[in-house]
Amino acid sequence: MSNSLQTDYILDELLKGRLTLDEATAQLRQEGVEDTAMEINLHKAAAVAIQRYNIIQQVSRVHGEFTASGKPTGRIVSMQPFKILLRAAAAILVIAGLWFVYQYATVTDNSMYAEIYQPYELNTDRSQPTDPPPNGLVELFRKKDYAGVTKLYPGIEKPGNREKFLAGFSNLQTGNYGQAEALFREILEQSTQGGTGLYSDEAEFYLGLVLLKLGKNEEAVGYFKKIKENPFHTFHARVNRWTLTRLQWLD
Amino acid sequence: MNMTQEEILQNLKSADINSSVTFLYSNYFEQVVRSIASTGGNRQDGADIFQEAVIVLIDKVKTGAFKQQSGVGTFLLAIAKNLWLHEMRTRGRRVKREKMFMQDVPTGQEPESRVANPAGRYSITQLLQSTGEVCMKILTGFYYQDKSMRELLEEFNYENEQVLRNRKSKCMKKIKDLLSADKNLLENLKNLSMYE
Repeated sequence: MSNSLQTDYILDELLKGRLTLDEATAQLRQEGVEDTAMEINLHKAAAVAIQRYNIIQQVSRVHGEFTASGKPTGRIVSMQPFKILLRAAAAILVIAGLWFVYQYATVTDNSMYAEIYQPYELNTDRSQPTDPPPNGLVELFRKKDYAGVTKLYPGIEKPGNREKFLAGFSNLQTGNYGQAEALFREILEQSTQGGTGLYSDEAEFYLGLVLLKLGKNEEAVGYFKKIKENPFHTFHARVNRWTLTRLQWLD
Repeated sequence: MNMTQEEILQNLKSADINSSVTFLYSNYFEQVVRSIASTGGNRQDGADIFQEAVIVLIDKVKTGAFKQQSGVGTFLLAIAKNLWLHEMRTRGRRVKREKMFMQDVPTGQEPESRVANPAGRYSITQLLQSTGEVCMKILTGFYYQDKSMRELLEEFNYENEQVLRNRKSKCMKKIKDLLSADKNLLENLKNLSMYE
């Protein structure tokens, strides 16, 4: 093997973790490499560039597909005579008016709850070092045994935000709205007092829903407004302007 | 297409990340673009920031820095938010600087509105592409897809392993020469970790 081939081989063995830094440095010196640190840095930088290049290429391909499909298409220019257009516009206005009246007449706490509601699935481990030791709550929740969760929760010593949220959500599912409200509020209170902020997005969203169930509509609207105004809120996509408008129609 | 958190992470850790990247774009691209458009940016800014955020997320997953404290989606949104806040701050400072120093000099030009980070992406792409297609394939196979020299030998049909090693070494030298001439890029790359 030539000198540069052997040098490359040593550097690759180092990158792949088959040689330690000390071993690689010693072997490079034997090969006559003077500035071993520079050689190692340069080799690693080149390998990192190759890895990043492949990521950039794959992401760019998908990016291109999405940005190209998002391009606005050309406008449709109607060639219909003015009279027909006017009639169509009038018909649309009447239909829109009727639809609007229908929406106003049929909006209720429950219909809004059903529309905004989103099931919650625990597919992420967000346990914290401060969380209580495993207690079976998460397993019951995953099995959707909400009654089991509400029964087990009071026995947990120093519950963390995860336990509070799972218990709150389970109470919501089992119709114990007052209990659910208290638990979600605890999470939010802790978050405003400099807590971890974990589950605060979830607590805000489901507290809004609980408040709808409890008929505290004005306060519920406040939470949904907050979610709507924060584009980075986890549940931002669940609340749009039309949802808020109809929430404000509630008594 | 539906993917669980585990499937996304598994796929992002592999060499072919297409399915998870497509999933992330399908589920979060519009949300981020709209959010940025509603906080002082435009669709182009949103698209750039999202692309950057996806690359950062992949980097965190591949280097083991993503500890699953939150879901992948929530994490991606948080990265996008931070990148956008940083971009807005940078723009704010840039505009202030320009106002301060160029008050009396009408340039007829708007302050530059490109997102800063694509420069780095562009440099890496240029660098790798200038080595030629065969080099890129060999180096990708060895350093990204983690293939052995034996596997690469079968794939590229070289006479023997020695010839292939020679070729690979020459390709690496080309990259190293180019990197040595681009100190900024070299410094940036030095600070990044190899994938696990």
